[in-house]
Amino acid sequence: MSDHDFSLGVVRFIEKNVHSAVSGQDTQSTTDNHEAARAAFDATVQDLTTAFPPPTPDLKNISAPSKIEAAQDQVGILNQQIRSFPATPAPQEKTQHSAPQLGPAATEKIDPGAPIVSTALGTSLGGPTSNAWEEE
Amino acid sequence: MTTMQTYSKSLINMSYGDIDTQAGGPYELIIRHLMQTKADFLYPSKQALIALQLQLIDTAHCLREHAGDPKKAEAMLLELRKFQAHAKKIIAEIDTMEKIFQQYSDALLQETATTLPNALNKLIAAVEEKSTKTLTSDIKSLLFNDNGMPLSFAQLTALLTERGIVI
Repeated sequence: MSDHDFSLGVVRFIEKNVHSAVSGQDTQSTTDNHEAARAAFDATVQDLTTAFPPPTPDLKNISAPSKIEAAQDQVGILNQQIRSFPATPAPQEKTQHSAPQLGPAATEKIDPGAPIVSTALGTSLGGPTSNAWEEE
Repeated sequence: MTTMQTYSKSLINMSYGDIDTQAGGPYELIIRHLMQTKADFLYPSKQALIALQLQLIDTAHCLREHAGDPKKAEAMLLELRKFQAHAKKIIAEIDTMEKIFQQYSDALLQETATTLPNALNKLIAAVEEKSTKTLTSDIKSLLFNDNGMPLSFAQLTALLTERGIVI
């Protein structure tokens, strides 16, 4: 049975169960009399989705997923640059000018099923968060 | 059933109850429409956001291991925090998108709850009018599921087969 045949199936069922009232008529011919009613039913089902067009919010940062992808590209480039930096000295070699330490939040694992939170970089430097990467 | 199908079914059940969208039918069509809208509307951005978050974590790990030059490392950390701030804005906007979708879903389901049963009742009434006889209430109720919605294709097919009705 296809989408289009659903209402036909309903009509056949009804006719079969009121058959005594239409005895003497061919079942197919009586079904043909219900095209308008079937069309109205089918249109109603269709209208429920077309009359409720999906929302299209105008969002600044993710109106186009490509903006996030562009950020991924930029972070990828930074990642490559970082790999060219000198390695972090071993703990015993640290001085008062040692490199900034990332907090535990920076290295915690993400559970794919967990709510999305932004804790990737920790809070080691303190102070207010820098300006957004991209302002419009 | 594949893992992805199982996952999709779990998502549907979490949102809309135990609905078998593969069984088709008018109500299942609405649910499929909602799920498709949600997938198109939210998932690409969410997926990209998660990828960005994982990338930031990986980069933070990398910076921790390559912080031999404190000035360079601090400058880079500041750069990365700009992306963190960007990710936070994206999270806020995705949250907004989810609320907008939920409002849309609720409105459509509310409309569906009255429109679909009414449409089926009108179809039944039209056939009854031609036949000059009404269905008994128990027979009529067979065309609705437990939630008062039209049957799915699978349920209607089973009903017709059971009664020897061929279309």
